[in-house]
Amino acid sequence: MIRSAPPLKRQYLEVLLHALLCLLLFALHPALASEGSTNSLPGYAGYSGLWDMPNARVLPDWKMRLGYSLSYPYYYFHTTVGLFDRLEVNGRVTGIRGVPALEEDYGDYKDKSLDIKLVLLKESGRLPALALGANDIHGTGLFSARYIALSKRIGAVDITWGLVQGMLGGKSASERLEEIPEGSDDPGFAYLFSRDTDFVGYWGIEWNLNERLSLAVEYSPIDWEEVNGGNEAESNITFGLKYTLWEHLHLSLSYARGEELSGGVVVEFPLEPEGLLTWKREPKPIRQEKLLLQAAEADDGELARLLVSVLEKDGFIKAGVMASTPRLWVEIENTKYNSSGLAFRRLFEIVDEIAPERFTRLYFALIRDGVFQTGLAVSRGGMRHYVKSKIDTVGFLEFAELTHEREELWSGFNPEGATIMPARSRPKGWSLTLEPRLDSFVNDPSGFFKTAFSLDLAGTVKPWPGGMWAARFSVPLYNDVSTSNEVEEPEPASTDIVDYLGRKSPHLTAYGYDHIFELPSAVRARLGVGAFEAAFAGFGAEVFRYFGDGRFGLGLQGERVWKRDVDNDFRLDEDNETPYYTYFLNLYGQPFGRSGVEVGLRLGRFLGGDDGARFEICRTFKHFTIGAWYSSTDTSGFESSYNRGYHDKGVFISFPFSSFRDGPVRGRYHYSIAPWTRDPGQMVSQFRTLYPLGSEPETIWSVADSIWEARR
Amino acid sequence: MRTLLVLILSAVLIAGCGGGQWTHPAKGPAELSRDMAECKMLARDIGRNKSHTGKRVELIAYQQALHSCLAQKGWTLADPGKAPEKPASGSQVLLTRSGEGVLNFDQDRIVLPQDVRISKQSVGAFGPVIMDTVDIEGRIGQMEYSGQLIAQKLVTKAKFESILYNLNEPYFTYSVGRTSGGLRWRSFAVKIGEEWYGGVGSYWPLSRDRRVVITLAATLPGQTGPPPSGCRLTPAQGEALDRFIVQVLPWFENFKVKKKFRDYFRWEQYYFIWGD
Repeated sequence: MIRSAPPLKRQYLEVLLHALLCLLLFALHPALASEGSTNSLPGYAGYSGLWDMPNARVLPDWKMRLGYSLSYPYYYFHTTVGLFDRLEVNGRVTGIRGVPALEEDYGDYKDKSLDIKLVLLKESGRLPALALGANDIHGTGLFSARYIALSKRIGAVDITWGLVQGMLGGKSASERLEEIPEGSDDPGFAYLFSRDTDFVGYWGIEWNLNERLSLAVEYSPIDWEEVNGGNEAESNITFGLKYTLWEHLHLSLSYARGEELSGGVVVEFPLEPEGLLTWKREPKPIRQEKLLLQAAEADDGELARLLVSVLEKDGFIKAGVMASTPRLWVEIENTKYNSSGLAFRRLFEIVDEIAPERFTRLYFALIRDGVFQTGLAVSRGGMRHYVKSKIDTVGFLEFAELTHEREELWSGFNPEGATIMPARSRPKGWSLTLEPRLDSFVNDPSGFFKTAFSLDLAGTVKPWPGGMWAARFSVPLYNDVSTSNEVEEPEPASTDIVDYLGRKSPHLTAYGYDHIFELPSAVRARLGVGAFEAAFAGFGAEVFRYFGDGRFGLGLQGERVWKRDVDNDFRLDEDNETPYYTYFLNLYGQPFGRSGVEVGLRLGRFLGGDDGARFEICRTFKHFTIGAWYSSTDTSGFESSYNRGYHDKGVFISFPFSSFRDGPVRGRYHYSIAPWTRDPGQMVSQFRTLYPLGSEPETIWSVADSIWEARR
Repeated sequence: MRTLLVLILSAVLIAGCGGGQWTHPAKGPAELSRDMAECKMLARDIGRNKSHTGKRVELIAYQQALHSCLAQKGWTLADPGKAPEKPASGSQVLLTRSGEGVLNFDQDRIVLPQDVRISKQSVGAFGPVIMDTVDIEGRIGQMEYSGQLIAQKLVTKAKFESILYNLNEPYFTYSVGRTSGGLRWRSFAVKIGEEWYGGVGSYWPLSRDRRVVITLAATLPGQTGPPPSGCRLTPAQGEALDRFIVQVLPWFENFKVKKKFRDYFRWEQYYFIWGD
């Protein structure tokens, strides 16, 4: 059933029709029409649209948007990402001025929302773009809505028309509750799949006056009187300007609902590893006659030592070389580049420059923490062909072999099983870094935003292959972390975390030992012992193996830990001597080809003793990772109503150092946002993990990809 | 983090700087616009070539290429409100002798190798650079050497790049290194006619607009047999050049590179990016 839109006031209708006519006349006039892109700027809430209403546009693939907007009494902080030119995911926090939260310290009432939009049909010829979308699909459902939007660009004008349900369609929260099963603990999600059949029409027009400025007007059927904190709107029409100040910075100013001057600021940027600064081309290794003379006169052992020294000088701090004419084995830990393809390429340039022509077969091994990751066996001529010509990955792999198994690479290099002495670099086996650390905690009842800022001294010692001692000493500089939530569980997994995170004196956050073992058939195992994180100390173990070319993997993991004493870094909590244990079957896969989408499933027992599953999905693309997790566990064992029926979830992002540097350097920043005062679905951190989701593992699958990346 | 800080501070710096003005003794605004367009196109190609991916323009290279191209067309960059800088012309003595075996380049001292003989001093200019060249000769052990110290000073707003001693064919690199004082050097060899020569060279940076080019070279023994496969020198020639390098490097240790100066280039680079 399609409901008729509420009647417009006559004067607004006249103004609107006049404006519409003008817009169309101008837009259709060839001299005045300017072609604009079909990418749309956001409305107030962050999703691509007009003001309050969405259109059928989405952010381009792997582009991100951050913004703030104010349309009194509502204000929005939003983050949006575009995926595959089809999907747009928008996360926002909506604050409502004048509506108090349950606790005074929290400030205004605030609500988190997740919005998604899927373009079913892209605009082509005479056909408009068609998108399906839903707002606030999880949680309280304060702003839940569903819509179909059509957008068509005519000249410089982008016209949108759509049908909408829920909050955007003028339906109150109580009316929406009638559409979902009674007692639903997730009204937002329940409304997404409800049988609501009431649709209301809406429309909007965005006119690109020039490359920087556009004028947007919309008719929205939202009944603001029925929205939390809202009042009856003076008009259903909102109009205003959107202005592109710089390439990535957009401003908007509008007259909303016939009563409020509103505005917003948005930053949009592509998720590209080459970000703020243009990457400089790395000069080719300098051809040094002295090295060539030394190499020409060297025996196999001397050549290996010479190559190690050259690789060290070039920045490969962990290198090992074995020479057995006509074969040459070179292993490195790639601490230099964000891509293993670039590391291989540089390695080859150096080796090919120095090694005498009697070496015709090359064996490259990528090592991480002393443990074999992926090997490449290739003829010297084939590698030259790859470096100097434009062959693609498929072509390259016709004369190169990649493997996860050290034994396989080794048997090719040393088929006779001879004793060959390796030459190895002697890297310093330790590292010590001073890291400013900022942890933000949102949405505790006692305050929306809590911060812990500390200066951490993080150290590792890697005394032998696979082994690592680790410690982190934290000096809090600012900390206002607290909670008004009571700890109700006798043996809480996480609800007492504030006792640990709120410490204001220097302390050892973590310390212990971790070892990764190379087992036969490319199986890897890991054992860890120590204080893994602020709250837990104990033991952890894990095994993992990739299957196929590294697109899939299977592992087992378990931890047995105890609560640490809050006041003594070297003791366990005497008031809670109960051991916590976890065990999981870990499944990993990249089922969607080269899209970069990774999925993971952990089945087993979580820290709070709850059995169940944790589903993880992320996309790792161009060295960025964006992902989310959701757990579904049996919470019947918890005593607190706060924990019962709760499903743990969170989002995470990793972005490469290279986006702030002038070269493709290695390393990424990681950040995650998750609830921290609930017990279900919790896991304990480890110093390292074999489970590869979102970590850019050096598998055959990814190395083949990066080899092609290095060609460009 | 540091890069970000540099960017932010650079933006602040630039806000107070304003742009320079290109002037030409014979050309006007219309010609500037034409020359600028031509030079920008060329500079863009060079900037792309200098970037890792070739997709984006490496801004420092772009800026340098643009300045260089316009300078070649006779344009000079001047601060607004100031008289245009004159291109280098005529001659100016930059290196003055003070005492035995010591040269001064403004406030910086160059202590010459022991028993060195200054055979010639000449001044000149090339583009925006004025130069004072001192030819020297001497003997280290059994090897006689000759060399040059070229004091260079820029008279425009351009800056010297902090780079490794540059070589072009037929010269080729024998080895590269860095002294304990941070001076980067390159040893080289070359065949001219039937003679073989080897040497060591370095750019000693003193400030953004002053540097000294240091080169010492000696005759190498001839080739009595073919060099090893893939090599151009014979082992005996390599050994002779090694001996020469070992003997001259202690003198190169006298040239200390100021740490402050090394950092200076980074600041300048980001200034350029935003100053275009």
